Amino acid sequence: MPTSDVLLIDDEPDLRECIAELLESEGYTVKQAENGKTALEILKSGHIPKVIVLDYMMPVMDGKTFCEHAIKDQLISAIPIILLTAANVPPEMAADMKVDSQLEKPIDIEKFLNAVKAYLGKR
Amino acid sequence: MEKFVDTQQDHFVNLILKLLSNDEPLDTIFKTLIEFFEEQNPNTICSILFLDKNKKRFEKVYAPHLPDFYNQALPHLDIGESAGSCGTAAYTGKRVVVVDIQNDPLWVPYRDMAKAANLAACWSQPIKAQNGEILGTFAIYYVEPRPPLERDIKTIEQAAHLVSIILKYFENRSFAQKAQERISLIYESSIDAMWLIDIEDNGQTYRFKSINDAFIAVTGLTRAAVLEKTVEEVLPPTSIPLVRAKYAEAVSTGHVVDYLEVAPLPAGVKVGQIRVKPIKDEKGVVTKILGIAEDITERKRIDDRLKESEADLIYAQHVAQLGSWKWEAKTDTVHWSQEIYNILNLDPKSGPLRFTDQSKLYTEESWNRLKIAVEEAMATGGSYEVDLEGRSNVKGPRWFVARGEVIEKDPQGRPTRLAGTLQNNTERKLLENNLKAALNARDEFIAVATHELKTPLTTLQLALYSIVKALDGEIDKDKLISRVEKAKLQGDRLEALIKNLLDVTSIGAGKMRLELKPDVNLSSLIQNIAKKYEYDLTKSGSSLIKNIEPNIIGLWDDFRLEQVVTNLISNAIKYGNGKPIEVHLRRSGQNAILEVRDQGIGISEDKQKKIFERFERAVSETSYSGLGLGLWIVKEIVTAFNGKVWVTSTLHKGSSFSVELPIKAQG
Repeated sequence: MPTSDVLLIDDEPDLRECIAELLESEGYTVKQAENGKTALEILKSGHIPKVIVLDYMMPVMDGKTFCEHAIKDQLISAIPIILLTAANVPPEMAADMKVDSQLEKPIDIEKFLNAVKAYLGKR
Repeated sequence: MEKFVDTQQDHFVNLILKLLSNDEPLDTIFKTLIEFFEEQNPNTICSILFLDKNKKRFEKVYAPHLPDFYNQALPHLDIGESAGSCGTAAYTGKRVVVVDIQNDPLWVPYRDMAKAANLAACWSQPIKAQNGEILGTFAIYYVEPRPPLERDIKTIEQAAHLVSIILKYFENRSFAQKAQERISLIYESSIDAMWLIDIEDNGQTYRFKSINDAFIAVTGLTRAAVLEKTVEEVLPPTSIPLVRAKYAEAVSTGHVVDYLEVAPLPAGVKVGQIRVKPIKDEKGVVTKILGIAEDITERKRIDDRLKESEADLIYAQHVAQLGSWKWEAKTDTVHWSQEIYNILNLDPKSGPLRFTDQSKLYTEESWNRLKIAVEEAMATGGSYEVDLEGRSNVKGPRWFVARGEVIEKDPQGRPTRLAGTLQNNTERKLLENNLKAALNARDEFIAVATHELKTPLTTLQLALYSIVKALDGEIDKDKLISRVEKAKLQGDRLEALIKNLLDVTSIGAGKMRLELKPDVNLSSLIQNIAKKYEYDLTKSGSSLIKNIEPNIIGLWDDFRLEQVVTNLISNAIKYGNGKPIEVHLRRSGQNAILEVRDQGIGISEDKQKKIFERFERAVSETSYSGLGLGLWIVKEIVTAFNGKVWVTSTLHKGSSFSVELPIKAQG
């Protein structure tokens, strides 16, 4: 299975498509997941992206629960996570989730792209 | 007395009786008596002597014809076994007859004195009271030695007896006078009104014969207006039936009768506690009535006011649901006002609970706080205020405010009495809790609303970004159109969201108005909405099964119906887990029945009741987005149509929402 640059996890299909399109227009490859559970399945199947873009509020498995699982897996926990959220996530909760950066919706596109670029550049 | 009734002495007895009836003083009477005896027995001198209290000496001397020196010496001589005739008679209680003073041993110390007074013989008879007490002596002196004849002995016996009777008469008269004076004093100085009534014409007439000063003061009537007048002429007409009845009762029973009388009198409206006593004549017939009235007008007024303020207090406590209590430290005695029993739902007959027993009324946590507060107040002499929660197994109010303070200390400064209040605070507490819940719900709603608005806004923002970017570079027309459409869709979503928010505000303020139109076709309305959701259905993976009876037409508001159907279908898609969704519409009598079923996550039983409330959602907010307003709006609209909405659901198996709408809705 070819590994993508970005794993994008968001339950809103329209929004997910738009973000994917934005990243693809910047030349990144994007894999999409509609919730934390699907994302974990993708990751566990050996699909390891260079960065994860994560929504907070999602059905089935939300962002917080996803992070709790991710931390337990050595391989997955090494992947940087950009938390993208419309909800007010308190800083201490974001710290618990061990996300690497946090951006609010609506998105500052330049900031977002710079963040993705930074993490991809690390590798 | 009959001893004196003979021809010689008739005149004398009449004279004495006349003197007595004329209230002449004792001096005059004894002087007359002595003169009479001296006249009857020529060449004699009579004397009447009275003993002092100690029965040792003579204190009073009536002897107008004995020489002055003799009279003056008498009170200084002790009586005794041989103390002349009178001294010995008074001492022994026996008659002493001395025939020759100069040769009698009884007179040895007084021979010279007798000689100087020219006295030769002396017969003395003791004067005794009815009980035998020796009061004094009656004596006859002669200037020559002489023995008495039998007639003479009888004379001095009678004289002594007469003196005794006169004394007794005077004693009785003075006793009667004193009693009369005392009664008058009581009568006149009494602060209670008193009056004396004569009963005339066989009890037909009651006439005032006497009244005291208090009667005048209390009633404001004058003596002239009362004395010799009948009760009808004196008392107000309203009092007559009562007064006559009570007087008649006293007369017929012969007993004292008590009653209360309220009468408008010149001195004002008076309340009297009256006692009437029947007075019998010597034949035992009741001829008079003595009346006594205590003026209790002021007492009654104070009594009434006290009762009134007590009633006010009870009422005030009842309205405020606030009871008061007192506690005596020494005896551990608790007193509760009626309202405390009401608040605590306890029977007043069982009495107040001791402080330590009150632990069973409150939760452990509340009881502990109360205990600490009371102990602190006892230690510092201060006051406390504690919120208390009642035990859930106890009926009645659940929340209380207890206040208390030390109101009395002993000289050492230790509290001896505490007092305070207990108030039912349940309503306020519930209101407070509801308010807190409402504030929480509002905060949550704002957070959710913000989130809900941000999601389509972000999508719109990204779509516009990509459109701008595309316009900058090579334009793929099809792609551009799809992006513009996507942007438009987000705009529509935002608009719908904002409309919902506004609805909440206006419906919540009671402003929802139905715009009823005839011929609204619910069947085609549902078909159109279903078409709109094709895109969302595809995304979610759910299929839509429609079972719609055509042409169900009614008097409805189509805009509001659209909201109902839209909310139910979008919910079914959102929570449908990608499984098939069914929409049924059929007619049932005068109603249209709409049913929307999904096979999704379902709703637990406890949540089913709450989902129609504002800001309530059956799922956690981090899992499912949404305002928690949809079903509330549905319910408000359906209710406005006079319809019903309900849900049947099984967790993890799916839900079915049913709406029953009258075909002719009444706006």
